[in-house]
Amino acid sequence: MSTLSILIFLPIATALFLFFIRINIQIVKVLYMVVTSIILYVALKLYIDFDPNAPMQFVEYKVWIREYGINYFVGVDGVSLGIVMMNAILMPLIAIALYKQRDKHGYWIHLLFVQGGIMGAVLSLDLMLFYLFWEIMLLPIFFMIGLFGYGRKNFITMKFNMYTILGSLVMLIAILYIAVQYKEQFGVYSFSLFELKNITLSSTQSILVFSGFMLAFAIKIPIFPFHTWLTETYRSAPTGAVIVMSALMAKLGTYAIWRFLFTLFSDTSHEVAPYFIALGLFGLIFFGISAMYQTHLKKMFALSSASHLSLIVVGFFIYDVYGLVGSSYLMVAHALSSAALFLMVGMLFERTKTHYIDSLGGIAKVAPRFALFFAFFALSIVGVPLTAGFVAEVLIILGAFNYNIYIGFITATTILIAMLFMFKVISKVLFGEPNEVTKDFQDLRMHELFALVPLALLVLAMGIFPNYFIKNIEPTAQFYILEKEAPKNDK
Amino acid sequence: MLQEYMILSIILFCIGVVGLISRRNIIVIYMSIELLLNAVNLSLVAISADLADTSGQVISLIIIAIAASEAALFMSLFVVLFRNKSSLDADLFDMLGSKK
Amino acid sequence: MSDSLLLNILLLSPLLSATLIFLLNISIAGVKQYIYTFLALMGSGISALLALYISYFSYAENQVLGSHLFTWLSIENFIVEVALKADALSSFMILFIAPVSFLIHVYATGYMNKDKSYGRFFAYFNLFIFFMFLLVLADNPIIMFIGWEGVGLTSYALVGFYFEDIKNTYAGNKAFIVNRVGDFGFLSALMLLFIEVGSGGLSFDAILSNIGQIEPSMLSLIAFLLFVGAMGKSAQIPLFVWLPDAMAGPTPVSALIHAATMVTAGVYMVARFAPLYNLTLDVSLFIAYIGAFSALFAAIVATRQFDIKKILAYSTISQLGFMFMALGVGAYSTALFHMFTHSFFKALLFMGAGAIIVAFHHKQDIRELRGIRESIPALFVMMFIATLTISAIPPLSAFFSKDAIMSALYASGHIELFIIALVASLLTVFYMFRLIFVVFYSKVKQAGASNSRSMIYPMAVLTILSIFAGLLNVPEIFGGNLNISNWLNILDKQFFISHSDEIILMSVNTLLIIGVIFYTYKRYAYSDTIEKESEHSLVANKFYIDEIYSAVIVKPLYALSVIFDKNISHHLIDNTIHRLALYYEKLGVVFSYSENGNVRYYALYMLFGVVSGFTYLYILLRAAL
Repeated sequence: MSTLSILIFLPIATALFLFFIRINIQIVKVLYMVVTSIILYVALKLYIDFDPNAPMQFVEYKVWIREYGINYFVGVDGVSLGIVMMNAILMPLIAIALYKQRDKHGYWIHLLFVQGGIMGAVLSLDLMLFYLFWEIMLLPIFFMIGLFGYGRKNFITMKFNMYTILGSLVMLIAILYIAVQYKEQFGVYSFSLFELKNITLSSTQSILVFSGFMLAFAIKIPIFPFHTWLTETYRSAPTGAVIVMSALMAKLGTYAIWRFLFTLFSDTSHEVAPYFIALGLFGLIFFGISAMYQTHLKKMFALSSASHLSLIVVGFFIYDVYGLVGSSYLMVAHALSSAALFLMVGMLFERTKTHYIDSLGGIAKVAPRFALFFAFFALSIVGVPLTAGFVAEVLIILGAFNYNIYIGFITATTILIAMLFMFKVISKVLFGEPNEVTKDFQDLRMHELFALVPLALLVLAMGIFPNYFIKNIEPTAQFYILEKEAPKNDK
Repeated sequence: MLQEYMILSIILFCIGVVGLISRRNIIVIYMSIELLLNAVNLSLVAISADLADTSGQVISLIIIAIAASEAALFMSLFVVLFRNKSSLDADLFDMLGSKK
Repeated sequence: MSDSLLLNILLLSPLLSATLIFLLNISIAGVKQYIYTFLALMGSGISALLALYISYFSYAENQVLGSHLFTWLSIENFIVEVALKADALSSFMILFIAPVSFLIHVYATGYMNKDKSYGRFFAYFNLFIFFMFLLVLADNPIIMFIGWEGVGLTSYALVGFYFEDIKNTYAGNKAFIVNRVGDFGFLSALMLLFIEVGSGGLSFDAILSNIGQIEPSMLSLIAFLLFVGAMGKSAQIPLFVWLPDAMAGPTPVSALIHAATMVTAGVYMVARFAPLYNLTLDVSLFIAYIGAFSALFAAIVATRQFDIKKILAYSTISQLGFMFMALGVGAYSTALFHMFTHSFFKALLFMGAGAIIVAFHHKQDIRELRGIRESIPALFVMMFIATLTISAIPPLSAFFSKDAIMSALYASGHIELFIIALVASLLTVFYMFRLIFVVFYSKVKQAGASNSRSMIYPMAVLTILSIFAGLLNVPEIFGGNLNISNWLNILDKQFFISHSDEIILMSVNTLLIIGVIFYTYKRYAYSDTIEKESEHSLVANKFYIDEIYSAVIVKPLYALSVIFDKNISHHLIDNTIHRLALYYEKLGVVFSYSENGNVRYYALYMLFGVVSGFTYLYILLRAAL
């Protein structure tokens, strides 16, 4: 089996295996760690062997359903590499941080399953395969919220799922539609990304199909106004699920915009870009300001994520090399920081049994290490220099100014927006005198430090030596820019 | 000649349908179903005679055999149903419905 | 030793010591205090020595040191090198930043003695120096911006250093948020600069040699946005509100960050972009007016403050206003020179205030600190000298710098600026001597603890520097040759003012200052005038600027937040979706009536289905036949 198939199927196979045999929870955890470590190792090897200048690598192609041109077709390039790495890095760290808190088989099995699903969705280059994995990764989250969540978990997980499936179904229709169109134009069915992009669609058709795809992605990201599932879902979801959703699945939505929409509908994406830039900018400000008065930590961070994801969308639709690279960088940077923050919120809840910032305070005095890491990751979300977020934001803002000076100014407000609520959180949670709830707050334990230190170091490294990481993304972005400009030159 | 047979078959079928829909006693419903089957049998036999093709008669024989085994099944079902509700009123057995 | 190595060590030694202190502090409990002291002083001491060495060579031999560390980013044309360059301006900056930082470090070892967060304090403090060096040594504006934000960040951490009192944290938040508003302008300006001329390279030299290609309106916009950054960092109207609150930090922080170094970054930045501002005279004039209003406004507010540190904070805003006035009329090296002398005497004043606060049980209200002259004679002498310096009494250092600003303003022809500056400078004398006379000249007496030597010695050094630093830039009227101005070699605008005019200006100015000192003496010394001054007047409440900002910006934002989240997200969008789901459910109820579980009905439906199917088939067949 080759590299990418291991990444996709090892977790899924292990999850299924664990599902069918009932063994001791300790063995499940050990197996989880072993599998995710293998994945991490394979992913690191992938990263080292990755050649930045080659377009699509480690491609695997196996015929699956010949009559309908559905194939097992996977590959990795500069954009997907980031999410693959994040997926590989975060999963074992979640286990290291949480292994004492969660003693249910399902928790770990679902996490393994979702890891495989995300890997599959990121790597697949066949639309049917992508759709399959896109739905597969939803299932474990559905069960995780329903089984291990807080609050009105059943209602919320149903709402989340129906909302997302609604988008996915519309996407399925769009996928089938272009496959049929391809059959009409070329005589055979195909679901391969690189063959489908050759079809010609009238502008109405392509806008309709584009919207079909976009609806699914917009709900998953979420873009305004499809965000109303977000806060409640994040609030009730257990820590592992929140991390997966905010750090990986939401990023997958933005990633899919690039991978599928920009490849398939290059011209249409370019035409509708102004609307999505406007929507993204509105979302950036809207979510940021909405977050200001939240008192529930997870709701606030949910809105903060949404605000940053809107920024990523803006960066993509600006569609120049700075925007694309900046947004891809922000995907990774934000994944690291938000995963760490949600992890720490989970630890906070474990110790204090509260998520409300007003009932917290003074943690810095009793738990300086916790405070340090919390403040560090919160600031990295704000995008202070020497953290990865800063690099990404500078690039996106640069792209925005390059696009249009007014868009540039609005985009630049991102350096103000996140700050409005993040500083409130930092001061209310960490500073002041400890109160009844926090006076016995236990500082970070060793295994929690083991989970957070790598994330912190990575955020720093990506902030101080961004060029080393961006080398891998830039050629891919350049490639897309060339694709975009090519038809123009023909005219 | 075929026409008369077909008209008889249709009349039998309609009687069966009306009985199936309007009667509440499960045994009567069962009898209506048998009537439906036999209406079909009649038309099969008639058509097969008309076309001089025996396959229709073979099918009708199979149907009669199946109907006989069905009868055995139904009889046992009647007993079970009657044991549960002391009645064979079909309207009492609506547990598949949305109302309780 | 190679040149680049020197610069690298200068930059990295504070970072190294900060990291070491930080790691020690976070990983091992109960590290002996002297280890921290040693590390902190090593970090800042090495860089101070190197800074003196580098500036000396820059001054004497005009050599420019450079160092290239690594490539930060390289995407298409956007190539940002982490490169350091110590040209005359940068060398001049480190000439006072590094030694003053070192002196304040020494002072802080005394001030923070036996504090339980001793290690954390010096980790932040050294980190601050690192960012400050990065700011002034960076060879391109992006790296400068990293330093620029970095000093803001460490300032945030240090203002809210005693986080047990949530008020300190809020002061830190305010400082960082207001600074970031300025950074918004700065970053926007940098992006525009890159888009206009970035293809030619991003180093300062490349940018400044290409700015001629930019069309004038864009250039003005860029210049304005850059100045917005300076406004935030250097606490000018309207972004000055954070500085007085930032006094919540420990006093060495106020001395180092909020008086001597960080707040002067705005001045440095405008001077760095001097060629740009020389092309945009409208923006330059705007800068001068902002400076003038800040100088006057802060001086007025300072006259009715009672907190010893707040007085000094407003004084800093006011002095920075003077510098911006000079920058605005094009007298860049004059502004820089005032910044140079200001860092000495203002740091000294803050350190004196800090020493007083430590000696008198953390009292900061000047009404409670009366009559302390006898118990701290050395402090009194040094504070008095510093006050005389800030008042620009000849021949103390600020006389040379402030007088140069005055004559530049006078000669530039903007007589209104000159008058504002004169009034502000007389008010400066008034509020500074009000402080001195209230605190030191009183009938009541009180005794306090004595200060440690590590606090007194740095102050003594700074006192000497405050007295003599002016000699470095003696104007030709006194037989000097403007050494520093020549060294800096910035494209100053040349002003011609006759020697007789200049002498008249100086003497009138000095006479007025002495008059104000006498008036202040009469009013405050050995009297209780200060007790009668209201705390609730318009001036004492800073013209209600904080309240206005809160009502105009903060509260509407919160209201908007509620509207966005409650009304739009929740009521409008989410309820619409729920309503849709509800209709779906109702439709289900309707359909469920047909699903009554009664088999006979199902048979009926089947019949309907079959009948309609056959009818359809029949129609089709009819059509076909």
